[in-house]
Amino acid sequence: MSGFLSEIAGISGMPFDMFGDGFRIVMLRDAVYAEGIKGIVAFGNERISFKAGKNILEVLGEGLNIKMLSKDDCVIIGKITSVGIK
Amino acid sequence: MLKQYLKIRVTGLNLSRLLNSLTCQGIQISSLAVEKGGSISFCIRVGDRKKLFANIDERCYNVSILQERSPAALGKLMLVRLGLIAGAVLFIAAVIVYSQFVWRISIDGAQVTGVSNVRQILTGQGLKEGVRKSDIDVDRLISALEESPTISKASVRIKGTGVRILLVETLEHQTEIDLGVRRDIVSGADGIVTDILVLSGRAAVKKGQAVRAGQVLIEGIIDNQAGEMLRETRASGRVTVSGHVKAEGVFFTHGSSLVRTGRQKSSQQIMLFGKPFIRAAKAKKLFDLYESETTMQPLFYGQLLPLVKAATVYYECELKITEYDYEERKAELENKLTLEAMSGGNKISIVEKHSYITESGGGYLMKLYFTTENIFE
Repeated sequence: MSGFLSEIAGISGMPFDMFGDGFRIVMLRDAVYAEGIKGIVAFGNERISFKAGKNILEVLGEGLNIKMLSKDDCVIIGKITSVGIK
Repeated sequence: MLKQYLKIRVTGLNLSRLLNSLTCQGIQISSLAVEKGGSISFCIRVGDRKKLFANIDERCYNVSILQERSPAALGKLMLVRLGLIAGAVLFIAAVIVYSQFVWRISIDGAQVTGVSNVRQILTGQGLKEGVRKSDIDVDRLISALEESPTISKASVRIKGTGVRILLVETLEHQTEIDLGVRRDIVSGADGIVTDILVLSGRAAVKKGQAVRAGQVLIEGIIDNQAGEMLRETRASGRVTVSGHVKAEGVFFTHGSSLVRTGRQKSSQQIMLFGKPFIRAAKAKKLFDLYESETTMQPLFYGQLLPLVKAATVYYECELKITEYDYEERKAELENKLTLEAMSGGNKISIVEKHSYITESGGGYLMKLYFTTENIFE
């Protein structure tokens, strides 16, 4: 399936990571920008988890806050200690 | 761009499901924070309010609007509180009235003239703090400032409630030359004119002409082609006069000098108004040959009375005959005579020098003949 999608992405000139189940994470010093997420799984001041395709994106830190949340993307601010994919 | 936001608090179970449902409906959530007691607060756009309440099941969640953040909300608040409107109107009116006057005057570049003097000029022209801006005549201010002899250029700029005065000063206050006063260029030495350049005035001599000291070289006159004098002026130009100067002197190859033997005697006396008042210690019989040194010291109460203690020391000396080198003495006298010859003119340069030495009275007589060039301008 991913091979088919990658071919479509190549033909249409779109980035593959944004095609289908792809997602993108941009990590700044005190913020994380996640694009392509499918929804919140859990959130708190020390842990925020998102569903990203078949994976779970987990942001750990202290004093975490969701600065912006929309259908596809999210900005998390706070003292980030780790970003992981399960 | 100012947007209107609603700050909302939601309490209930499975809040992440609610958030996912809201975002799937296209509601953008911002500033989401987890509060104590399991509730969350977040902001949404005012336009999404209906969508939000349509998606929240009131049986599962408690929703409360905490704040409405918008310029319109501020307007509503002001309508409720008339005092705020009155205050805002008064504030705006005060700002408008305040901006009609000058409250700050800054002066730059008045190093020579002085800020206080410039302020005096400005005050004389009616510019001071508290004056209406419409009453300021910038052109009149500039001309009044430029009348000052130390100010060459002035600019006045009104910006906001301030007036900025920028000055350009003359570096040195130059004395004005009165062109009406006549001035001639006069020769300071005898000789022959070898070069003449007239910048202003009329040439009184020609090239090759012999001139005497005191003779006018360039007259301070401006005339027409017919030779009639139009007006007097300050003569300006450069005249070179070539002349001859003679100098002579005697030098000796031997001389005498006093050498101290080591013996000395001293004498002290008190002086009042510069005259001896009390002779403290009489000098005994002085030496045949001696040198003396006197030191004056004001006494303790010299501030009340002009009393001075003068101490003189006499040193015994003996005569010593010294032989000098011929060439050294000759060069010494030659330099001395040359310097004396050069110090006579305005701008003098020696172009030729001849010297003759003959024996005379135990010494040597040196005669020097200089060919000089005097420049008068």
